[in-house]
Amino acid sequence: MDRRRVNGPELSVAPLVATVDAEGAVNFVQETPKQAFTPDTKRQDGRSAGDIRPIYLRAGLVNQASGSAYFEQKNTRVTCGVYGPRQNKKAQFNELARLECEIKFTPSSCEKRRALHRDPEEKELANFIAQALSPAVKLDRYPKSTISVYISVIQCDGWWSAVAAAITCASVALIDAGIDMIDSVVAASTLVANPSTVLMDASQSEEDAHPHIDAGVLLVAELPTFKSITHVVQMGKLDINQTTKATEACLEVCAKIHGVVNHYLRESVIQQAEI
Amino acid sequence: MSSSAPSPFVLSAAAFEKIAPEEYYKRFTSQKIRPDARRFPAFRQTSVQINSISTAYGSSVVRQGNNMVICGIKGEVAEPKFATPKQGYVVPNLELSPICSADFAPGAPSELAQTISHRLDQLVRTGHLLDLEQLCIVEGAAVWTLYVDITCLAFDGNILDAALLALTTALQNTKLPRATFHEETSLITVEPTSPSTQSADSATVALTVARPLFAASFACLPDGVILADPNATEEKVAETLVSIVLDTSGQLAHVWSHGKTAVANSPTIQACIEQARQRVSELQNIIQLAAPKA
Amino acid sequence: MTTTSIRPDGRQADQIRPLEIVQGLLHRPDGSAQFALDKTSTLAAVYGPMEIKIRDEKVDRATIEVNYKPLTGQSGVRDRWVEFNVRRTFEGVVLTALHPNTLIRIELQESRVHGSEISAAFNAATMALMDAGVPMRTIVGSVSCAIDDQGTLLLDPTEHEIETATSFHIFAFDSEMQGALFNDSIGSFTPEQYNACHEICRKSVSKIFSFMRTAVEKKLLTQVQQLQKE
Repeated sequence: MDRRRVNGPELSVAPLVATVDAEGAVNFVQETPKQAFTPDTKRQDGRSAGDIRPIYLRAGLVNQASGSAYFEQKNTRVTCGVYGPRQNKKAQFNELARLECEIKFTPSSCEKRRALHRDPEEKELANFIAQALSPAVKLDRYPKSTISVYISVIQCDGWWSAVAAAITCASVALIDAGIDMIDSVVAASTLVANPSTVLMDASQSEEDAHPHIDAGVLLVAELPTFKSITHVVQMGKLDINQTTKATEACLEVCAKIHGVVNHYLRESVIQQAEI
Repeated sequence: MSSSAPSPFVLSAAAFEKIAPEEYYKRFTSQKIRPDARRFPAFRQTSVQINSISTAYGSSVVRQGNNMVICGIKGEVAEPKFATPKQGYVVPNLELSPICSADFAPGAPSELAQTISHRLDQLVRTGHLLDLEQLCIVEGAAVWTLYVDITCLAFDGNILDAALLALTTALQNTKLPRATFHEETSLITVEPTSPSTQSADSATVALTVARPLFAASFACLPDGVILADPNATEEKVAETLVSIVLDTSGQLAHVWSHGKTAVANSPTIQACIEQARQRVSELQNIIQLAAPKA
Repeated sequence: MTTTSIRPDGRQADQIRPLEIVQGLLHRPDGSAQFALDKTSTLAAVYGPMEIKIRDEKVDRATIEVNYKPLTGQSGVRDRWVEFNVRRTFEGVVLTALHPNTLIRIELQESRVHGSEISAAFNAATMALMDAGVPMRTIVGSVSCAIDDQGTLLLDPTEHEIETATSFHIFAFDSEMQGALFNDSIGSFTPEQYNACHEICRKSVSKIFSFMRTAVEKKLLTQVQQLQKE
């Protein structure tokens, strides 16, 4: 019961998905059968293991915000708004600006409906997105102020790819806001499916087919010009060789994403100059 | 020796707007125009995009000027109320996320979000937007609950119009999976639907919206000026705000006026209703353009 | 439209329920009032003008805060909606420019619920503000009406009448009674029905205003008498 929102019935459950055959027997739909990937097999959407989905990027969608960006990779859609630098709410003096970050998955973004209020998972994500971004921002340029980064995931096709998209998107929004930065931040995620396969930018169905028990995920956020990593998240079962291999693969992809971001930013500056 | 004369005081337009918004607006309205170059009765450019979110049963993205709202509908199964064993639930909520404007802080929904959510809820129930009995799976045992979640990503005033348009168009394009009740196990299951085969398959049932509703809002300034579809600044300088909700037959579903000056039932309201009628037919054209091609 | 039909509680269609106003019944607030429409009644308390948090301060006028509490249970979105509307209306009525950098708080509490509570809330708020001596441009009076499935206009409807109605209208007027300061109509109705509702409410709000006047006169009279005794 949330007294600040319109409430539905006390209890409601997501429907069970099943097929019913002619005799009336119920067959619950199984998860997508596991499939061994080798470097030459194509993935469900026709990509090879090292490919990412095509990126669409745009900045400046929210006119009320200091800066904003929209980032899309097929069905993963993320938007970000940056407000600030603005006055610190707490009276305490601070020489460095505070980088505040919030992420919200909209209720209809995932297969199962997500709650309207921020859940602990999102709070944790927000923390580490802030950690991934802050090395790039020149926080000492804005004493006594707060820079707020608000991210909304409109649709999530692959949890970790959405998080990586959120980091890249937030960095573009920070650039759009004209915040002083030493570099942009780009992030890439990967799913290590079996001893040899590193699936870049895994979709939801690929994540579902490889639960954490026998696979691992790795997310790397990088300052591409400095070639330094600002954040790594690793989950699941990975040995040191797999981790190294996955990190290298992520960094390779980061360079590609950086190319896209740079290209977009350059084009938009040229376009603005023409106007 | 010529002493440089003190430069005359010049106020930039942006500063003028911040310091004296009422006076700033008066300069424009006296010339029969608005700062964003619209005429008084002009609504902002509106577009609707249908079912772009494949994880929802139905969805729409509405852009109205600098407003952008996303509406996604998710269905869950619940027990009906004892008094209404055949009626399902529709639960609309508007989130004014902190992304959309500096006026909204993260955390609990603002007063405006709660007010509009309540309004949408009332329009669905009291305004009879749709027949809730079509959400029945098994009488007295199971019904659909449709969670209508509207998220605002860019805010620039007049959120009721955009939110209601998103709600109406998303419901109109909602397809519920066909549900089966198994007596021996008393389980409810739905047929699997894959996003690729969503069009015209037997596994889904399209929702019918009996009474599609459309809103048109107006800002009344002093000296009788009526601005259609006010943006955030216009809402702040307005004396009174008027919202009219109509169905497609021209019947009124909702009139809401609040503010400093008395307007209800004056020629102002009549003029607003007239303009709202035109807006409804305009919106119907926009929706037709957005409708998925058969 | 028939106006001669008798309603379950014996009223005519265009008759409001018996009114009752008590002013100054609470001691701690700066002003208080109870406004009752027979079995519907709302209690209002006004605090202020008083100190305000710097965050909410307005340099050129007073800030008005409204809190609406339902009779039972926790407050919900409906109560935020009532607060929004009451606040918007009184922001235009209270002479807030006379008390810059202050807060005027209006507390509303449902004490009996039997239909048309929001109208009672508006009226109670006016009486409490008057009791607190907060300067106002005009006074606000509110009346509700409903249209039943026969198309009959029912003034000041009860809970049951609202539930079965096809549309429900709330109007709040200032003392000039030209047009409504606040209006909220919902359901399914034609512009003609809307106009009829407006007219009937406008006419009967004068009864509320004259009753308010009598209540204030009575209160002042007893105060004068008390002073004379002393």
